[in-house]
Amino acid sequence: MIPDTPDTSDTPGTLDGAAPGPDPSPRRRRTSILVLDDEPIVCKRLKPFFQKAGYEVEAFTRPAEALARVEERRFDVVITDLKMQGLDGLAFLGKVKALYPDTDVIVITGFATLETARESFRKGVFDFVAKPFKLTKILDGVRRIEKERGLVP
Amino acid sequence: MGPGSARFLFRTFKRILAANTAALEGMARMDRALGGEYVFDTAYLESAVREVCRLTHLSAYHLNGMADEAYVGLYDAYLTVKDALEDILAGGMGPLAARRVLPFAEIGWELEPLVGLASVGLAVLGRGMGLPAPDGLAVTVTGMADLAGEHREEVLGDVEAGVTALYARLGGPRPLELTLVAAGTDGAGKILATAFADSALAAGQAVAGFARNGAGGGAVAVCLRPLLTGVLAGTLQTLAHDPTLPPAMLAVARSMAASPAAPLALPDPADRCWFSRLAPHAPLRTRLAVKPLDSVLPGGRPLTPSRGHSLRGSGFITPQQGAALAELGLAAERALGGPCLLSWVLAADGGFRLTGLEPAETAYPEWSEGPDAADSMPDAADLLLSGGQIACGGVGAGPVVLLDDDTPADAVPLGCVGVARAASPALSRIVPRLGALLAEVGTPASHLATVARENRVPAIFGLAGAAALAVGTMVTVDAEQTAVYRGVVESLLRQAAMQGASPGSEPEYLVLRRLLRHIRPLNLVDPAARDFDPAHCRTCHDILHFAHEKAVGLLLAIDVSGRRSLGAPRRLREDSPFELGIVDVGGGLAGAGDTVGLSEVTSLPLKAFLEGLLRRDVQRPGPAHLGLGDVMAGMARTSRALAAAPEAAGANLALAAGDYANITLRLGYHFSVVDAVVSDRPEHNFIYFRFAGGFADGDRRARRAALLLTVLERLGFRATRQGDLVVGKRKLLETGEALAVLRFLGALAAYTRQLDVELADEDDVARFARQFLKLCGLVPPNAATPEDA
Repeated sequence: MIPDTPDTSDTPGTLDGAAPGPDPSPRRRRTSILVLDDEPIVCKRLKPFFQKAGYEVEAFTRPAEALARVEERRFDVVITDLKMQGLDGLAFLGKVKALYPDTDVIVITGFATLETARESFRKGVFDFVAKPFKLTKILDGVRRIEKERGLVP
Repeated sequence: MGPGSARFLFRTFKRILAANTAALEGMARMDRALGGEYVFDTAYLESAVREVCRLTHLSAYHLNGMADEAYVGLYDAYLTVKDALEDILAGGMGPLAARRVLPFAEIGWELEPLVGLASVGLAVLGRGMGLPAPDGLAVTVTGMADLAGEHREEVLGDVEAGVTALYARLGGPRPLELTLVAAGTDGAGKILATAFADSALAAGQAVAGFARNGAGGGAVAVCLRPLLTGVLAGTLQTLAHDPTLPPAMLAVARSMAASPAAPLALPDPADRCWFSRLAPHAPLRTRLAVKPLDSVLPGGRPLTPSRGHSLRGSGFITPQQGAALAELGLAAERALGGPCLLSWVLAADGGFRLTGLEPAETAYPEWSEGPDAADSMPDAADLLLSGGQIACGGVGAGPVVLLDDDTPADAVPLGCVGVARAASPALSRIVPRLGALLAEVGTPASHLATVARENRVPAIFGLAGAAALAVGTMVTVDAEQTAVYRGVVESLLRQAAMQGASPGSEPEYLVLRRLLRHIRPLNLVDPAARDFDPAHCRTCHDILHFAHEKAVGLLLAIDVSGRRSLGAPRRLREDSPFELGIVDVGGGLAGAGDTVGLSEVTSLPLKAFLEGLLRRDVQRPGPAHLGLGDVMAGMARTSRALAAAPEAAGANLALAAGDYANITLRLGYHFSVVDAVVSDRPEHNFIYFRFAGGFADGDRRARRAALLLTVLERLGFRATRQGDLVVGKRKLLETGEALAVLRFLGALAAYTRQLDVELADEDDVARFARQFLKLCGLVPPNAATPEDA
């Protein structure tokens, strides 16, 4: 596992234009995010964080429920763990991409190896984040997706 | 290069440093995870513990390599700590799980499943945060389970011994109150039963009674504390949801006058008062009970009876008392990580005493979700500041108060937002009083950040512009978003106040706290203490610190007379007050040849020291004036020095690596050592300074030592002096600060050379100290004294 190294680079406005902190911008269509991690603590942290940052968030700890939900509707961004009981994260991301090729996926994992990272990118993953990670780091990934997809003005 | 050679010792020392640095970084990351900065899972906990253990073991191994296996006891200490950590990772409670009775002094948040919420709350709020909560003890889940089996008598013996010890702490026997609480990993902390006792024996019987009556098979524990009496008793629900009110707290108050022995068993009348959760906690609504004529009201002022000889229209508690109670409630809520139900007593002296703690009953699902949750979030116009790093997650609101090192803790109102220029450790004592903390300078790795996490005070460090916030302005700090908003943002406070929503109360965080208890605390702080030995190392930090201290000691004891084993030193080719040979032990020097110039010194700490040493303005001109006493005293020392190995006399030698320097100066007849690591890792930087000896008589040498002590203390060293021996240490320095200190030490070495013969009396000590500090641009300790000529 590659732990996130502490850094001191959290100066406002220096992270590729994605400053840490909230984005309480005027009302617009909110970017939708689905979070899937079988560890409740991860969902419990990510959901309120993204909600406060102005996103529409649904979080799941059971892969089957998350799968049923993506079959019902499309999300702009999917954040998923890789190693879960019941359904492999790579399989989940494969299904998401098959249903919605323009949904971007960020993989979060506590078992980051070069091989899994490579495999994830081959399957069209946008970003690969090793646990433990900083909230600002994953927010940065989502904001880059928004920028590239033109989801923000 | 073999074991025992200077080069071997140095290389091994560097390995210890590297292991310590990596271990301390891992520990700091675990500590920071506790503050909500990182999102982690159980796999992280396992791997982080494994890595810190590996590095701790490595440190012990290398120290034994340096010391010829003199500290094998360190391996036993390591195995004990490792076993405890593995037990916790496997779902256990660690070594304390076997204890049947625990005094509050040994109880921290992580023990909640073992002792129940009531004991944890009172222990931490009282001892940890300085709130008015009593001392006491807990009969643990283990103790209560053992009562049902063959260890019954032992448990009762433990309880009686615990109560006897409590009486000793309290200054004598007194009536006790016992509460049976739901505990265990699934225990909600509910109070299941209450009993009273007036002796250690009766307390044991009450505990046995709890066990007999059972608790439906669930894990239970007992909280035992002195029975507190006063004028009023009641509860405070720190979050009382009412759709018609802004976020509120509900205080229920009853008179204790009628039956102080069982205050909460009294039938109503009870007043109910809703206070705003926001400072200054204005009353929002009151439901006053009908009171008997003899009721004691605030101020003792009798009111006119209305119908039925009862009083109406006046509450038991005044708005000011309600506000004080609300502040206590918010402090408790911050500590708990969520809303709670506090029990309290209003003592005759007018002060509140906390008597119990339960989880809040109601969750508020309508606050947590809903399609409009994000719509009520603050907008850009309310954002005052953004940036910095999370030192501790969470949300807090209150008026801005500026803090500095001299701010008295009792001048800081409970629940305010403290703002400081720098995250100085001196602010630690104020942290428990704060609703949130902001600092312009500082990082999540700093000591103050650890204190904020310990007290669960939301904190943002490195936040530019914080100190410019106007004093008294109401602000809301959202640490996770690293944002400060104007006014009180109710939606953020609501979200943070929801049961379990704030980081710190989830099981993973409790496991992390439990793990850190065996990793982070430093118990062995004084290397001179008798118990500074492997047997007293109780945590990874203890082992790492012990290995570091002993390794430094071994390094300082390197015999410079054996310097040839290091390779030939290169002579400093500068206009130095004395000759200096430098040995490169890895990245310390550039170029080649017999001599070396300052520009070729690549060792950060050595270069800084030499820059100070070579300052012309601090070098004292001309020969020293010796008196007869000096010469006579010096002669005896001269003969001793001549008996030493010829290489040792006058051998000034520096060992230099990129981030390390060990400078040994034997100037004439005094001996000083500077040992320093300066890297880009403040947590591992240190500077040691030792000085002894001199040419002049004992008094004058002692005066020079006094002068050095004055200067070292002014430079922020923790310094001590015994006779003419001065020892000073500084740790945890930023790179720039460490280099500045080393420049001063270099200048000091040049300045004090042979100074002792000029120190004729005590006044000279102060005069020369002031003169030196002035030369260095530092304010002397007694700046008001007129300058000397």
